[in-house]
Amino acid sequence: MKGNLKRRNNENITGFLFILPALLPLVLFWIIPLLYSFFLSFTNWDMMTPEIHFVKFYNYTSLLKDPAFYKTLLNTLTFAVGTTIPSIILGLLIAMALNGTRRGTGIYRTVIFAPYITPMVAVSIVWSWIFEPRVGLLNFVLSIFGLPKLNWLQSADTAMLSVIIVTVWKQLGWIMIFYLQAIRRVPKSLLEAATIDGAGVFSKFFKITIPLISPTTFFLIIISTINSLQAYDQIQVLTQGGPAGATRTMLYYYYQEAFEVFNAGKASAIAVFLVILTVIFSLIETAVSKKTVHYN
Amino acid sequence: MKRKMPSAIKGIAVHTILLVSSIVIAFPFLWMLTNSIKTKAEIWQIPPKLLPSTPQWNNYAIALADGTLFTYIWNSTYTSAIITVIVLINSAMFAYAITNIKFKGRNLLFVIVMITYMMPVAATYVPDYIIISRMGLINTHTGYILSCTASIFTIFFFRQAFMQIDKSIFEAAKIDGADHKTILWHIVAPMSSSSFATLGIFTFVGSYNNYLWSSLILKDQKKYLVSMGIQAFFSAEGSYGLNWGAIMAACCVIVLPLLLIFFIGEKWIINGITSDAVIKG
Repeated sequence: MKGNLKRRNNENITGFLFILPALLPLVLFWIIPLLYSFFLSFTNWDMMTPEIHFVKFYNYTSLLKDPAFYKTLLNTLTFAVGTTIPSIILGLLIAMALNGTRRGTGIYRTVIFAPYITPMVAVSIVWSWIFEPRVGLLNFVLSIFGLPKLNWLQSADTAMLSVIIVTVWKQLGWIMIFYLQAIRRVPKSLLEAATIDGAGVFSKFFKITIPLISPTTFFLIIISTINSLQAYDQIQVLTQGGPAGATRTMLYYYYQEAFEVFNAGKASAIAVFLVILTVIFSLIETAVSKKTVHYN
Repeated sequence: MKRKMPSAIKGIAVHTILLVSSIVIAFPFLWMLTNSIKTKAEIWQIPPKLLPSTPQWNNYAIALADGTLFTYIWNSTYTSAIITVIVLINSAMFAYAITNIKFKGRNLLFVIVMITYMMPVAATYVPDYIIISRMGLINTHTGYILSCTASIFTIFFFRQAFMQIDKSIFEAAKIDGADHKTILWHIVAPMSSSSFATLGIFTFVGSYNNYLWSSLILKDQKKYLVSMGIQAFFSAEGSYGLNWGAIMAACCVIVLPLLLIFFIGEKWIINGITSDAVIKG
């Protein structure tokens, strides 16, 4: 009995010592700041004056009355959906193609994954040159096909599309890698049995592969939407949120309010909305997954 | 005969998809490379030329003239190396504790970690900035490194990996008298080496390329990481008539070593990422 108690005490001490090296920075740089952000969202602090004034819900109500805020919300949703869905579909398509071949798999895989490891800022600079309306590569390609030239980053109609293109280009390989592994785990025997039963390529894909890899799809959708809510680098380099706020997402709005205007209170309120949006996304995705994801 | 036709068509379709996507994805890199050795006139030429008539290595001389690019690369490399080592060690310990040590409050701790995992990192920027500045560590690499030493993503994935290890292995080790330290570093870590490799790469790449947070903490140009550095170079060259050749050369200097390392270690890196331990989640 006494030995047992001593052992449990030991486990408590060892457990505490094991979590400590991560717990310290976790508390200092995550948990306290998150709570502090929430607190700041009820103030109008400018990040400089020593005293902090309470404004109750002012930051929230003024945001909810501000059309510009709804624009950033809409931009954020457009960006999230616009990057996640194409990345998932194209990533799966490429992974299926890679799975269907043996020759050159390594080279294709390497090339398609490569953008993921490069700095977003550097590749965005390269892309800003590709988007250049007069001599940029993209408009040249369009002109080959007889299509009209676009103003890409300089037009409010196409700026968001441009930022989405760069983002999908960068994360496609990452999505593909996860799908590649998931597809390989689909039991061959199931697919062979279906072939014997006369199932075609497409019906095997939609009736066997898709349901079996659905946990991976769910995981990738969650990660990709959470990432999209935090996108900053490409927006900062390509458009700075413009033109006319066309690519200003909530995160970018937060950055501008906090570190350009030094309105910590309003910025923190935006951060709280961002948290709420993340939670809503995760809840919706979890609810949908309960109906569609097959775990065995 | 009838059976062979579809497979040939399938083969062509598959290679077409792969070839087209590879070309589209690789093209920005090729474009960066060829533009980095073009003259200004060639860069602004319509229709664009793929290759310059004579390579303009001078663009690289401009990009490297003051040696700052190498400083940025060094800053990024060494800070990321330190962050990666710390994060791997403290996250593995944390994940091991919440999966294998029965201590008071571990369930509560895991719930807190999971909630924090859903939080956008941006929500911490303002308070983190204040904390770092109260510590007197604004504009220091120490401040940047310290603020990056908690990775919830890494903890979360280590936990997934460790949970998949057969419990009987731990029991056997405990009966042999091994303590938790020994079990973690001599049994669990070697068994999940691919998770260590993957998470190490993710952490390193993420912090090497870090832009927003590092640009808030580091003010002095000598302390910039590569992303801030290249952006500073871009703005500077942009201000006098966009010297795209030199900008592309600078991008090459930043991007090509990364691609080279990746091509050399591709098999090892990707196999690490696709190992079961990390993916199942």
